[in-house]
Amino acid sequence: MPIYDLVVVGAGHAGVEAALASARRGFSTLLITLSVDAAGRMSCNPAIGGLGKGQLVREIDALGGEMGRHIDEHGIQFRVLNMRKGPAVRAPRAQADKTTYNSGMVEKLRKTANLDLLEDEALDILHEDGKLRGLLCKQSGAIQSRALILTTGTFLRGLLHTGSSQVEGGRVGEGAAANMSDSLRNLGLSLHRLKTGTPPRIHRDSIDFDQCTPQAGDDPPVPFSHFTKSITGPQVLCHLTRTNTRGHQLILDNLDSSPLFNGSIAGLGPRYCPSIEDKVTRFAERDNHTLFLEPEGLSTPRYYINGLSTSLPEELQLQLLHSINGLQNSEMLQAGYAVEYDAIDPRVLHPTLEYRNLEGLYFAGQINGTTGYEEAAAQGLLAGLNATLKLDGQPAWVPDRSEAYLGILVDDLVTKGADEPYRMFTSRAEHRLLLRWDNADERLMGKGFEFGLVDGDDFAKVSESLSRVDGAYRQVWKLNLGESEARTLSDTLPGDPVMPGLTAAQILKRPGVLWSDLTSIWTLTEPLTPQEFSRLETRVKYEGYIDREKRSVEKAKKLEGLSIPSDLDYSDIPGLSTEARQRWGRVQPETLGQAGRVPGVRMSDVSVLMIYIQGLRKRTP
Amino acid sequence: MHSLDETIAALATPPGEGALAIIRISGPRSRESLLSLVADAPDPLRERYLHRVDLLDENRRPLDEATALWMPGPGTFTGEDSVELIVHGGPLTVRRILGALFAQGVKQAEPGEFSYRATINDRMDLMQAEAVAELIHSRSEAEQQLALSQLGGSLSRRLSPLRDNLIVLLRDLEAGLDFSEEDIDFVSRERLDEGVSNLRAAADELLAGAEQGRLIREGLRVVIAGEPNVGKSSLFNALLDEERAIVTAAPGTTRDTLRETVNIGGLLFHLHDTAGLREGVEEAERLGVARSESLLDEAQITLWLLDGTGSPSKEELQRLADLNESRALLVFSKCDSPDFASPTLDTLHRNITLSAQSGEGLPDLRAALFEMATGEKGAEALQVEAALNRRQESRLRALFEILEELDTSTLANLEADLLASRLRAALTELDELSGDRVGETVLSEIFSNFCVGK
Repeated sequence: MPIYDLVVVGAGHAGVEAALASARRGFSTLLITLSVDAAGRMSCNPAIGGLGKGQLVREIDALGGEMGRHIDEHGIQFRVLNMRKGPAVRAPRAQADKTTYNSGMVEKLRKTANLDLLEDEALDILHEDGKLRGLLCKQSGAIQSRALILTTGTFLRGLLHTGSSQVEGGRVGEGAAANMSDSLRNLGLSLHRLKTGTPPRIHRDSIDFDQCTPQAGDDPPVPFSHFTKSITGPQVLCHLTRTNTRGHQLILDNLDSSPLFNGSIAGLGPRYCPSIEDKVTRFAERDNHTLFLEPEGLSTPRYYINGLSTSLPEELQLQLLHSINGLQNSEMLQAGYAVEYDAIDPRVLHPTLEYRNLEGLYFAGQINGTTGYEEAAAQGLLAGLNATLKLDGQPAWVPDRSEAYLGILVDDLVTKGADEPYRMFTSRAEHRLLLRWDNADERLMGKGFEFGLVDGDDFAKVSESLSRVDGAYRQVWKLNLGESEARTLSDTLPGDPVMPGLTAAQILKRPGVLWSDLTSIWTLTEPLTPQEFSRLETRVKYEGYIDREKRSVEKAKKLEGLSIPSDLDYSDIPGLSTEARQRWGRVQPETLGQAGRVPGVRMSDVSVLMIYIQGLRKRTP
Repeated sequence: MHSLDETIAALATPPGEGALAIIRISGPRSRESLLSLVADAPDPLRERYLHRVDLLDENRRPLDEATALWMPGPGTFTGEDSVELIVHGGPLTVRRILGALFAQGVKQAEPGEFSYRATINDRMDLMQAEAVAELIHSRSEAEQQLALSQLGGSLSRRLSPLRDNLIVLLRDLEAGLDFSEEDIDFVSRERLDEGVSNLRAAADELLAGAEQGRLIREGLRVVIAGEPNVGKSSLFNALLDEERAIVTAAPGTTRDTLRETVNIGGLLFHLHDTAGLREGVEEAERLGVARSESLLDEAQITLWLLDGTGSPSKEELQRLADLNESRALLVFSKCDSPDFASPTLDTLHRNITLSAQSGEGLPDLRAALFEMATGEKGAEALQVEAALNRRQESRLRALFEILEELDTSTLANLEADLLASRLRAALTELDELSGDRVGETVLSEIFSNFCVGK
């Protein structure tokens, strides 16, 4: 077998992005998975995107990753969320055809140059004198590689719970990886248990849709990817129904048979993805909870009951389903279950997701304590990118918190760790107004192009579009309102009358005014597309607020720019509080900015550290 | 820490009473801020030379006589353009001078910030840096102790409801943004408006308390005014219990204003004796009268003195009508004179009759001054609950300004993401004020209060 540049273990959403980025950048890459046919499988809900997550997908896309394009090819319902709440909190979401999403991804992987696929189980990480050598596999034996990315998802000592039944496995019907955990422990990593749950799947023909509320997608559907012109596949409806007190009582009467409550699950679950057992106990005052009936694809009868995640015994799940309007006669194709798995403490990683104690070993996805396809894919891309940059002797690249949700994701992981499964939210962003889904290209596509993952022509098109918006922006500040135009406009616009002499930009700043309200008076020198108009409007309306955020980013940048030597011994620093010594010793922050975000440290400690490293720099020129 | 583009200032000598104090200014606008603070700017302003200057506040009122030292960077402690001001010691003077600097946009230096800049600009070697690091540490420990013992109780007790309410508001708003697909009703604008206006009222009250606290720490400006020769200087001397002002029988003796401080019931009153208000006959007196007028505008309490042996002139009656009733006290002098006639003035102003000569009525005047200063609370007002320092007060003011921007009509029209951005900025101010960090608080609040998650 050849010596690979990079071996990726696991072909979930993280592994797929890591392997594709590496292979497309020209590095010989091997993707190892327990089942090649399961590559890119959506093991839980049949949807991509949502708030915070949708922004991540747009960033992955701008960097030349696969997820955005792929969901555009396999999406069966598209919606942009929060359309009425401002551009900074809008995000795309799409229902996927799970079957073709999976098979389409396998096909893409097979066709990708420089990429080999191998069905095997990874057992042990091979290293020698502190240098990574490769990987030991069950069937193929030792495989040599220069870098290694582990994206094991829920498969590390995965344990599936349904009622009192426990089966080893990472997903239903698939095995678990038992040996890798020991290998990681031998490398000095500590593992902890996390859990996540899924709801039951039922047969489409057993649902009475007349008793449910239909929910349609946007028309026309808006694509995720910057590179998709339009969505051509058929679009479907989702449906809503609700739980009721009868079902709640059933759950309450049987709590002791739920492994979540009877103590047989030790792992910590995500608070934002609660099981139905959790919901009815914690929010006892509510007499119903919304359920979303989501089709898993066009060619499968499976429906995913979003909102009904549970690990109750099968027969109780069926009784519960039958208590719900529209599901009285439902046929359960697969019971809901909870899965427990091993995760590492990501605070041992560099922001590039490389393990601090073994060069060339990277971790991405659920093994780092995150949940969600999008969070996994984003890490996979970043790890694949940085692993290959390092192989080439290039500097690492990690966006900071003001540049991308991707930056927030890895900074949170390596700085704060993940005691519970970590999910992205827009409220995690300090500078949310800057990190919009509509400007991911502006923020990141230059990097995607630089790294060879975005095509030159595509990038040129985006640059041209941005400069058209720039030109229009300059123009709207120069267009002045005349006397008679002011009268006309005052009649049509809401609010106070507009005064002659105002510029188009000033009028556009008013709440509720769109460029389309002004087209009877002014024409732009260069015509814009609808997306470009909306970009222009956002820029004009938000600039005062955005400037304020930018100023606070500039302040923060000074601290981000001060890097901390990697071999710093915190016990050597006089004047540091014991707490800061311990916490920083554990996290090993790489910049002063990151040091300041470690929970529990004080500003005075940051000052002490800053002065100390400035001094070090002077001493060692 | 502030950005290096900003100019910072702080007291460089230990706080408290002392003969002299040094205020250090560092940053690109050091020179400019010095020049805008002085009455007659030294021309030329020489480098590394001690200039004697008169410092003025933002309203061109005198602050102090001081010595100023201008040192252009990089050969300074911080490596930046710097100014050192040697001023008269005493917390009030220092606070007022710093206040004047902050009014022009200079920022209060954080603890250790001068050293930070010095190290950034390579002005300190390792030995020095480590020494400073220890110093900062011990200082912050001490400050923390101080904060715990002194403020911990009162200030944070008053801030925490404000913070809690702000977090609840953000929680409701953010839940509707991050979990809009779920069973959460988006918080109504009416409820946001109500929440913001409650916060605004709370911040306003804290600010008022801060002002009250400052009043008590810094004292009140009392201006003794009236027509010439009604006995203003006599009253001034009587309140001081010393012959501070020259008193003659000739009208217009006092031309410059005199200032002295007396302690009444634990409160400081800064008494200003002014030139009698009349159309002056010669320039010096005219200037004195002009200064009296401007002092009157700034007075927190005006003692308007009337000659109890005569009847008020037309102009005088006019002036009396203009005086704010809650801040002015009418004093009828010379009550021991045989010609004294009980006043029959048709005003709502409180009045006192006294004689500076015999001392009759002086205790009444002192009591009246104390009452006017403390208002309804009386002596209780001296127990200031939340004593804010300048930095805290400016943070609180910034917070208040953000909330003030969010008035009812703005709230009704502002996009939800912008609204959240402003409320987060408010929370940042509050956190910098209290030293807390929000971190994940808002998210945690969402999880514990809403049933979110599919």
